[in-house]
Amino acid sequence: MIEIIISDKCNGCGICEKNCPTNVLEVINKRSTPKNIEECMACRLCEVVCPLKGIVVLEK
Amino acid sequence: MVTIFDPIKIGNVEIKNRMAVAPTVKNLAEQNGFVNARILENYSIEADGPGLYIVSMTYTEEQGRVFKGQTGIYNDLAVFGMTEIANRIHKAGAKTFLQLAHGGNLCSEGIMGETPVGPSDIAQWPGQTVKALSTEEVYKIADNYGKAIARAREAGFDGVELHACHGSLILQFLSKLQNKGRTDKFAEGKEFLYECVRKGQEYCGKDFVIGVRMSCHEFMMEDKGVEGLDFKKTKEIVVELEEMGVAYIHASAGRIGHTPDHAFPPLYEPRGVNLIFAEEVKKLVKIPVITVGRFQDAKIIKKAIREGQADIVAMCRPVIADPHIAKKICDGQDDKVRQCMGCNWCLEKLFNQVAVECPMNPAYGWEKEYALVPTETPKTVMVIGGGLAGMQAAYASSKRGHRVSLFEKSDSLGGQIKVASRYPSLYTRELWNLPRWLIKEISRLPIDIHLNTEVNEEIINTLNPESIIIATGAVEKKYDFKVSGKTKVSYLWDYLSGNVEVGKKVAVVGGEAVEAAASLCNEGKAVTLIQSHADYNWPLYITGGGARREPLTRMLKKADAKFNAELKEVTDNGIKIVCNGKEETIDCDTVIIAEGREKVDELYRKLVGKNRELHIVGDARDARNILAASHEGYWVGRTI
Repeated sequence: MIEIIISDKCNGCGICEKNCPTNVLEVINKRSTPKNIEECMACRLCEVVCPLKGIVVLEK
Repeated sequence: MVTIFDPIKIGNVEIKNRMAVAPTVKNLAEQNGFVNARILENYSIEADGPGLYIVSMTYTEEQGRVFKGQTGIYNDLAVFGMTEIANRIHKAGAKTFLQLAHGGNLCSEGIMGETPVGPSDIAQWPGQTVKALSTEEVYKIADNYGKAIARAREAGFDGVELHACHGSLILQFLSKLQNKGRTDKFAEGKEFLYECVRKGQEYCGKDFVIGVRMSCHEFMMEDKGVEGLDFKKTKEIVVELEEMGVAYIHASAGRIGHTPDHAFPPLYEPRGVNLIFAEEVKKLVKIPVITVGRFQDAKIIKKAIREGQADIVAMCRPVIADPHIAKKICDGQDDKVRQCMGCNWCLEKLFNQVAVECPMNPAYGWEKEYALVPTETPKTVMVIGGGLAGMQAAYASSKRGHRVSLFEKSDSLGGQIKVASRYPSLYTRELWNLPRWLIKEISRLPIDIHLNTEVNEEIINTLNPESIIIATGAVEKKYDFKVSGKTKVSYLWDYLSGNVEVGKKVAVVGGEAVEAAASLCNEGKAVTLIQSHADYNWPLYITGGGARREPLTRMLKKADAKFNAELKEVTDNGIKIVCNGKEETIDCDTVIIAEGREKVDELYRKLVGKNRELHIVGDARDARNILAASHEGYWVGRTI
């Protein structure tokens, strides 16, 4: 089970959407949204590229 | 909709699914290029699952041999062993193409016995003498490619792949980097590639599959500021190759010795980073296109095929890390794949001219010898330390039937990788792939796990285990410097644990500081990097052969690096250093010390010589790297 937590400080810059290798994240209404969570590999690239450090990927 | 389980035809060769083992120089063959039992065993295991196995970089003639353990098909005797390889792969269920290469100026005289040749006399390696090939000699080499292709067919391979990537002779001609000053037709680099294709077709007919693996883009201009082979030229070439009857294109990138991080993208690079080249080539040709580069998860493999970005996904390092990756995916066991980290220890070994090794797969290359054999005398085994070495030891000994308990003093397993994989803005997250896999495996075994438990002699005497494995790891070296002011000082692991708020200007100091400095540069901090050497202090795990220094060097360009420097004092507004013998003041609000690690072996010292079966593994023996920790833990677990 993978969960992606987007912090309130997300400003919809889209860097995570651009970098995700399996197109999990999409910016909707100026906010990053996990639209295809089933495609998430928990590679955690989004955690690293987010300039505000506003993404946490949880593996359960 | 296309899936990875759909068959595909390359030429008239039917391939059962869209997964391929990419050409991998294992460096396990005999020193005369001939085949042995060890390399055959390795091929057999990996070939069960993928539809296609591309056997790597086999030299077409002795003048073209690059590696000490490389396979060769340079004469008719060599066909005997290569036939065994093709036979094994077929029995295991895959079709197989043989990749052929002449190493040109990648070669060294000490290994292949004569002065290396190239498109010009420009050296590839520092201090190397290279002989420029005459026109006649180029035609001869192309003819030898033709003969090698014929031998491959004789050996039972279903086709061949011409190595036109990563720096072998064909790429040396294609690229403007070293193909300078020629006045014959081969001044146009693609003519040599085309001549090799024509020769193959002359010897074997147009139906025998000939594919080409290209470095689609060398990144010479972006990374080195010099001209090389760029994608614009490659797009011309792939169209012409298709017209000539080439059966497929395998799209890679980069160049050994110049831009190797594009050829073997390390862990800092995203998964599937070179997929874009396959995608673009597919827009230009109808023949199948193979992609490669950090494909270690079923999800990204399936996506590349489903969305038509490539026709086949090839995997090199992910197969080293998990030889059963393709089989697991076919069996619906996607989550059981042990995912390659991109640490590139395999490449470091290869470029040091020894057999390839992998931290994730300790048995690689010695599958029979290093197999986990059930024990005839089960013992109680106490593993002290839940880092990489301890987890491997617990895993291996428990799998064999020993009764294992694993003790970890912190609240979770994983050891140093817990912090090493957590640089805020440097992508080292994939280092966690191995602990993640081990933790899952350990949870499936009858191992007694004790977290938050620091082991002492009392606990040992109470439990009285028959065997003790000490894997107590390492701690950070503490630095001797004067703190006379308020500037925030922290050590690396504390910083990586998220306990430090870094200001705008940060000084990073020490022998294992480069990754922290790169991460901080990526965040836009003003970074001063204090290094004791005349160049970056590369930690021993950021090796020359592992293509990790190149991306880090690019990131570190943003830092102000002080070489031949030593930290002397931390003041109110920054630090005082001595650099090249002169005292300097650096303005900063935060200091991060990353001096490296030293072993923790007090418990071992207390127990040794006192009537206990003792083993010590990993950083507790000597603070080193994940390859040593993983292999030593597995070794002891395998042999107890």
